[in-house]
Amino acid sequence: MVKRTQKLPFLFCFSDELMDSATFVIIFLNGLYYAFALFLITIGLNILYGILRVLNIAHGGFYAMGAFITWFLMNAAEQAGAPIYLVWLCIPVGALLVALVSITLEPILFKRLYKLPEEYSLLATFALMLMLDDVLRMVFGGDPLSANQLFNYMGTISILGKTYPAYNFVIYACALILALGLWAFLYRTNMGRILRGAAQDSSMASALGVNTSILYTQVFFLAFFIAGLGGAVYLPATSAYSGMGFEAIVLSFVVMIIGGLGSLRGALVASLIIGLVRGFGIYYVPRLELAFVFIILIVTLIFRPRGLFGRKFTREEK
Amino acid sequence: MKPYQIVALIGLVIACLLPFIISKYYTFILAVTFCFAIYALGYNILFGRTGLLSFGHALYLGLGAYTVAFLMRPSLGAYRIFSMELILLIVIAVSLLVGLMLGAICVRYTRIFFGLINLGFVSLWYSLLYKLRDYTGGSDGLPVYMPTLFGIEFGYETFRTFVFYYYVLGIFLLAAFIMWRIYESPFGLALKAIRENGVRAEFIGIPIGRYRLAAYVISAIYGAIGGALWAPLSGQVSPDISSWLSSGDVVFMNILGGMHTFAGPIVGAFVFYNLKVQVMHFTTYWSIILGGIVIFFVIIFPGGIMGWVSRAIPKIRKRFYAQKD
Amino acid sequence: MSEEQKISRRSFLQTAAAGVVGLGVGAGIGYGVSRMAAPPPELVTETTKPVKDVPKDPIKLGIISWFTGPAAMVGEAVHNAAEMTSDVINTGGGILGREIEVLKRDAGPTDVTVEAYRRYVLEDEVDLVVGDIGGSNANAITSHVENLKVPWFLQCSTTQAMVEEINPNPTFLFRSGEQNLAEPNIAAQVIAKEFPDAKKIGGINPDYVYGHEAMEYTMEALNKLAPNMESVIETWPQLYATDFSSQITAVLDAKPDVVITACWGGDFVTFAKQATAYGLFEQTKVISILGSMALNSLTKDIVPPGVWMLQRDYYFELPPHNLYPLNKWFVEEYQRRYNKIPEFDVMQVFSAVFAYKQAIEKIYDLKESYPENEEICKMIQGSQVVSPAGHRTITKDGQFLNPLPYGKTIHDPKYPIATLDPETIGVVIPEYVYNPKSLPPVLEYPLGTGMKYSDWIATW
Repeated sequence: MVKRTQKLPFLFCFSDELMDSATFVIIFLNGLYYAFALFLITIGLNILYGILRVLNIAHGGFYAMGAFITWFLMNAAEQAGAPIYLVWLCIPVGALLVALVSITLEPILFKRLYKLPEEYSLLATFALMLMLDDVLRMVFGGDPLSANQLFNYMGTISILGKTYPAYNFVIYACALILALGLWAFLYRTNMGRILRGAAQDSSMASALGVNTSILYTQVFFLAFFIAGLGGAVYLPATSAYSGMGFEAIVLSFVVMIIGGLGSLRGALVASLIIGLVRGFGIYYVPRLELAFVFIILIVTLIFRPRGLFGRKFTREEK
Repeated sequence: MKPYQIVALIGLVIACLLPFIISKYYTFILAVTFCFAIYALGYNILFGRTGLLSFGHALYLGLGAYTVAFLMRPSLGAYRIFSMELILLIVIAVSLLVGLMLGAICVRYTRIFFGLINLGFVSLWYSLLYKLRDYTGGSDGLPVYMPTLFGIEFGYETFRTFVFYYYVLGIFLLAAFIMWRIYESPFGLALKAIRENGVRAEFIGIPIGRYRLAAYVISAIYGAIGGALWAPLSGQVSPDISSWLSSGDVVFMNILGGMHTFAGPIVGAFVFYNLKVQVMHFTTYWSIILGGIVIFFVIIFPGGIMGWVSRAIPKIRKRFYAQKD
Repeated sequence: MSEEQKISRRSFLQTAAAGVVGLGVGAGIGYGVSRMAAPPPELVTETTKPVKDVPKDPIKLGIISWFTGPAAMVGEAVHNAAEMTSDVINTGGGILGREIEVLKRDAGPTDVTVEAYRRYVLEDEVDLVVGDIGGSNANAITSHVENLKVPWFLQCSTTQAMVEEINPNPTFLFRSGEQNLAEPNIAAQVIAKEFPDAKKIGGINPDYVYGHEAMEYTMEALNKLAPNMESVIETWPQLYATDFSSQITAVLDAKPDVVITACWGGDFVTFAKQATAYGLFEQTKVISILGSMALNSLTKDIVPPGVWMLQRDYYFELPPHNLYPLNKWFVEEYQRRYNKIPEFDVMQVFSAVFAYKQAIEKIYDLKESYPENEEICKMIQGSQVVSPAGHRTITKDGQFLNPLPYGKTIHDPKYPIATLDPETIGVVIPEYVYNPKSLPPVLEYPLGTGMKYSDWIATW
């Protein structure tokens, strides 16, 4: 008789055994993997919203652009027979190229959005997202594109007896260095202080002699660099495919809401929560998967709508 | 008679004659467009009039459509309901309930938070549609069979390309009339005040929480009716109609047509949907074109088509009267 | 001998003669002019009577498929197939002298697919539609196809709902790929035969109707074939997911003997890559139900040897090229044009259009006037058509029957991708056994009756 432990009503399917420590570590790492992907996109979103009050739905498109451009570079490097360290370089170069693209977009499009109410920037960036996805498809085609050199190069390591791809640690290192670097930048440098000040009150900053226009451009550069880096560093582990930006952005919004709009701490904490809850959730209750994330979202919205670290609502927003 | 009434009357006559003039394909497209016009019209009382941008209104479109499919399921046996009128009443009741429940949570917040909480709800609805496969058909959705209109059954093609067009037109006119009365009523004007400045509106005694909720529920009902009418035309309901991407469509329609006017959403629905249909047919890169148009309108013409028209009319009138002198 | 076989033999002899001449002429012309290599004689059929009363305008073939989004490779393959097929037919004189013109557009979500079909039929007046679309889209268009009466040849977008409830006996809707229930059946039979000692089954399947049905149907069939097996873990990654690591980890922890995966396209590529990294292929046996859809992306570093892969209804090496020149020509021509190996939906499109052509010619032979859509469709049902995959029979309910190959992967230096090990290839055919090592034929599902899958399993 075929017995299926999962034949119970779909909500209540648990696996019987408790996991051993090796599996625990692996699931924890998987959770980190997912969390850092969310983190790298949401950081950029939060920077843009926190400082410029622009909710950039197109950010997912820049994440995708990072992946595709890096694929192109890695593929070219492979064809040319380049040594492995050049292939590694493709990652930051890819991110830089994405940031450069964004710099050209900023004066054309985003500048006009600062003055409009937030809803308009939401719409315009949504439309931009649609366009970006199509442009990427026009340039790179519809097939999923893989660049496996680095993934294979790093090989696998053994963690407590379980096989694990070593490349994933590159991702973790990258995300952690980025988070630390960003924190140091914002809280330990002059430039960072100016940015935070401009975030709180841009007209005051301008009155104090800060060139807000250049400042904003720099903020854009930073945000898009991070988004492109996200796409670039994840590419060797997965693949670049048409429509990947949309997937990324929906989840990023959830992270943003749960962590608090505009909060960098919130982005990190919320990404970790979602990544880990999802990782362990898939182990215990595989049928629920994505619904987890949205349940957490709804609960947050009902009980603490400003998110974990978001600023309190002003009178106008109530 | 006022000029706009003449325009509306001419429009009505043309609409009634169209199935005899244009091809069957375009009659079908127009019928679908009217469904979306009802949806967009209802959405605007929330968006344009009350100032609340919801990014999850496709939930109600899907709610209406799935209710129709659900009531016709073969597994219901003798309890299947085919009468379109009865179905519409049930759809109104269901959307009223759901709108009240969700609205009570949503209208506590405004601006970006309102939009995002709606996004959360529609995402949850979408994943429920996917997960509860035994009830909703999962990713494949549910088939929609032919309903009866006033008790009469029609053949598939007669229904889709002729009869149902008039049915939808009729309901559209009724819905537009009711919305017009709401806009002109004290309630409708109060919503405008709430949009302009919620704090001040509260100070002069408007119950902003209740009014916002009412606007939300009205838009929910309209959305559900639009979805319910769309279902038999399509023949199948699937989670696609409630994707958050499709939620963006109605916002585009309103912005395109002009969200601060009454006719704006209607015009926007027509222009956007037909544009989409044409563009999708001729190229697979339709997102670029539609996205570009939307960005153009958001930045250059935030008042939309009707906004531009209503600004142009006084100029035309001035020139017209100036000539008479 | 049946009527159809008499006709086909007569026309085969005639075309063989005509073909030799045609080949000579065609090869001469084709060599320097177009990018077409001369088609084999089986494809150059002619009518026996001079052509009159036939419209002069081209036959329009509309393609509605995925050209955008994560499944965009599918639309591209279908389009390539249609282009190549129409080139072959047009070079051979078209269909009764009418050339085929190919149109294409994106399928989009469900409502857009419906609108696309109606537009092609009512505005553009296409003669036939070909295309792979999603399950909900396929369910949606059934009523439109049956009422607007322009045939649509689906490839692998069939759903159980369509077959059981909505449209069990179509006239105008054809399924040129086999039904979704065939693959799980074969998977179950492979498991029962190759892994008789297996006790625990795991699943990593995309979380939508197709994925669920794949797992459920396999388990239901296994219930009958190998009752000692049970499913110990079922994970459901999202369709078009980019990360399968959590699911792979969960499955590894449950230590199943066999893992079934219905991931396809880009999903399967990412899944295979990550599964290799986590050691899934070493620790357990994996059966991929639809991984072959991304055939050209399955490079050797992504798919290791030893993975069981079902090939739907066409594997490019079968029928063997040295025994069946049509297949050799087909694969080489497709490679020459598009630099890719043809996967099953390419073959399905090819045979669908040829079935259409053959039906028109047959009716014209009998009636001497150009047939209506309904006549064409009725003629296609119950006929046989020559295709690169061998002879395909089309049943009375519009189902193209096919040999269904499967096998274990191997790294052959001849190809850049992982291919099947010829020693392990088995084929399941409804009518006859192809390879002595294959399993008993798939127990036939009573097509056209709308029987529920579970009821049919109960009859085994």
